[in-house]
Amino acid sequence: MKGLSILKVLLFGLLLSPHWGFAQNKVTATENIPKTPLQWNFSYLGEMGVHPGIKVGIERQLTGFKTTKTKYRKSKVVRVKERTRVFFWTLNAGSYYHRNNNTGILLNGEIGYRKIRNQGLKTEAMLGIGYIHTFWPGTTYLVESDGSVTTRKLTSNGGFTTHFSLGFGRDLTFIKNRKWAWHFRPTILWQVPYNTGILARFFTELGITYRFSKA
Amino acid sequence: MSPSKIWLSLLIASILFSSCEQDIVIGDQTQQQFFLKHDGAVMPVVVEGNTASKTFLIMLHGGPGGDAQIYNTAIPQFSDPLEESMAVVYWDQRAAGNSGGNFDPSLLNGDQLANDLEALILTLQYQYGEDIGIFLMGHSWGGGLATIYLNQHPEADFIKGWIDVDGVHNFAGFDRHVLANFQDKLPDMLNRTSQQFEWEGINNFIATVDSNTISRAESNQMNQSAYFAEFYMQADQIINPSQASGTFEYVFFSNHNYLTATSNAIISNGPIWSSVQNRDYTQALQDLDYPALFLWGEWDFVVPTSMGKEALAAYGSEYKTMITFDRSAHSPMVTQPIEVADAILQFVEEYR
Repeated sequence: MKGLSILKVLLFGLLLSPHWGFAQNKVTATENIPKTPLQWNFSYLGEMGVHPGIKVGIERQLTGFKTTKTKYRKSKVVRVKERTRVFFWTLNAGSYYHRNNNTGILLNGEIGYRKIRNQGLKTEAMLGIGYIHTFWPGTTYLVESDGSVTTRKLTSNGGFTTHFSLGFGRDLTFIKNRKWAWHFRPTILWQVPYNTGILARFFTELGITYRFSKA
Repeated sequence: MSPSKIWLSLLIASILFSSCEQDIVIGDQTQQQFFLKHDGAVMPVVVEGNTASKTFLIMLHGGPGGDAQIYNTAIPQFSDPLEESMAVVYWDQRAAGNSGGNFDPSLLNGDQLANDLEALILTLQYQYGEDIGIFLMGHSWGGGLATIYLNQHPEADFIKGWIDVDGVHNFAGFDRHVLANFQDKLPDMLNRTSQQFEWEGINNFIATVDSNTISRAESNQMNQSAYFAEFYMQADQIINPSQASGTFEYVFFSNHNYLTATSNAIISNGPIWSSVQNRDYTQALQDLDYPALFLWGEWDFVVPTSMGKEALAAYGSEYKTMITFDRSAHSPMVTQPIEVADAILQFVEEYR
C-alpha cells in the first residue's frame, strides 16, 4: 500500500459503492410540530454520581419541528429518515446527600435543545443558571476573635450556579404518542462564590419525563 | 401525594438525617467529625482514636491546598497504630481539601492559617478539656505552618512536641536547597539509573538554573522534576513503592470530594506560598524549646534532607532528633508507614 493515500482509498471505495451509478433522488420535508403539554421530570440525582439525591422539574417546549428525508431510487422509496428537533425550557428543584460532607439543595432553570431519531433515540444539551444551598452536617464550632467558642447545628452556605448538561435516552412521545421517556444526563456545575473563587461540581442524573395532561 | 410533596418530604428527611452526627466521645476507639468555622472558612475536622489518652496529634497536611483525610484513609498502616495510642486530628486547612465558606482573598496567607490552627486548638480544648496535650505533626507545607504557629506561640504549655516530616522552615532559601540537592545527587543518579533518558532531561534543565536568580517558573519546574524523580526512583527500586491503597473508595465513596479538593488547591496554593516565600525561620528556631522530631526521606528532592539538617542544627531545644528513612522520598509515611509510625509513637511516649 506504499504511496496510496487514505484519500485515494476512500475515492476508490466510493467508485465501487453499489449506490453509485443509479439515479437517486432525495426529498426533504420540514413541518412544525404542535406544542406538547407540560411535562414532569423525576430523576435520581447523584453528586459525583454516587452520593444520592432526587430532582423534580417541569419542562415545556418552546418550539419544535420535524424533518423527513426520503430517498428514492427508480421512483421507489428506499429510506425515510425522520428527525424531531425541540427547543425547550425547564424549572427544577433537587437535593442530594453526601454523608459527612454536605446536604445540598439546588434550584435552577435551563434552556435546552433535543434531537430525536427514528427509533426514539434522543440526544440533548442544556445550559442553566440557578442557586445552590449546602448544609454542613453535625455540629459546627465557631471561634470568635476573643477566643470564645460557640456551637451551631446545620450551618450552611449558598452560591449562584451555572451548569451545562449533555444527555441521551429514549423518547417515543412524538413517534408513538407514549406518555413517558427516559434520560441520562452528566452535568458539570460551577458555584460562585466558594471560598475565594469558583467551585466545580459534578452530577449525574437518571430519570424519566412524564406527560400528565393532554395537549 | 403530589410529586412536589414527595420531593419536599425526602428533602426534609435528608437534612434531618444529616444533622444526626455524633458529638464528643471519650474513649479509646472513637471517631468524631465536626466543622470549624473561623474568619469565613468552614473547615472539616475528624478526630479519630484514643481521646481518653488526652494526647492529641494534629496532622498538618501539605500543599498548601492538600488534604488531611488521605493520611487517615489511604495509609491505615501509618494512622491506625497512632490512633491506638492517641487521638489523631485530621484537619483540612482553609481553602484546602473539603473546606468551604466564603471569605476575602487577603485571608489566604500563612499567618491566617496559623490563626486557624489556634482556633482549632481552642476548639479541642473546649471539647476535651484544657488539660489535653498537643503534638503538631506537619508534613511538607504543614511543617512550615507548624513553624509559623510555634514561632507565634513559643511558650504554650499545652504543646508537648513538634514532629516535622520533610517540612519547610526556610521558605526564602527553599529553592537554593532544592537546586543544591539536585546538583549534588544527579551525577550518582545518572550512573545508577535505568531511566537514563528521564534523568538526563532533569539534568539538562538543572544545568540551566542559576542559584542567584531562580525564577518562579524555574522553581515550579524544579518542584515538578522532584515529584517525577520519585517515579523514576520507584522504577529503579531505590525507594519503596507507595503503600497507599483504597484511592478509588476514597475518591468516590468517602466523605471526600475530589472536585472540591482540586478546586481548593487551585485557589489556595499560589497565594499562601507567595505570602511566606521571603521568610526564613532558621534563626527563630533557636528560640523554640519544645521537644522536636525531624523525620526525613533520604531521597527527598522536593524538600531535601539539607533543609531538615539546617532545622536540626538551629533548633533551640536540647530534646531534638532527626531520623532519615533510606527507602523513602518526600512522603515517608506512604513508603515506610510502619517505621514512621514507630518513630512517632516512641517520641510521643517520651514527651506526652
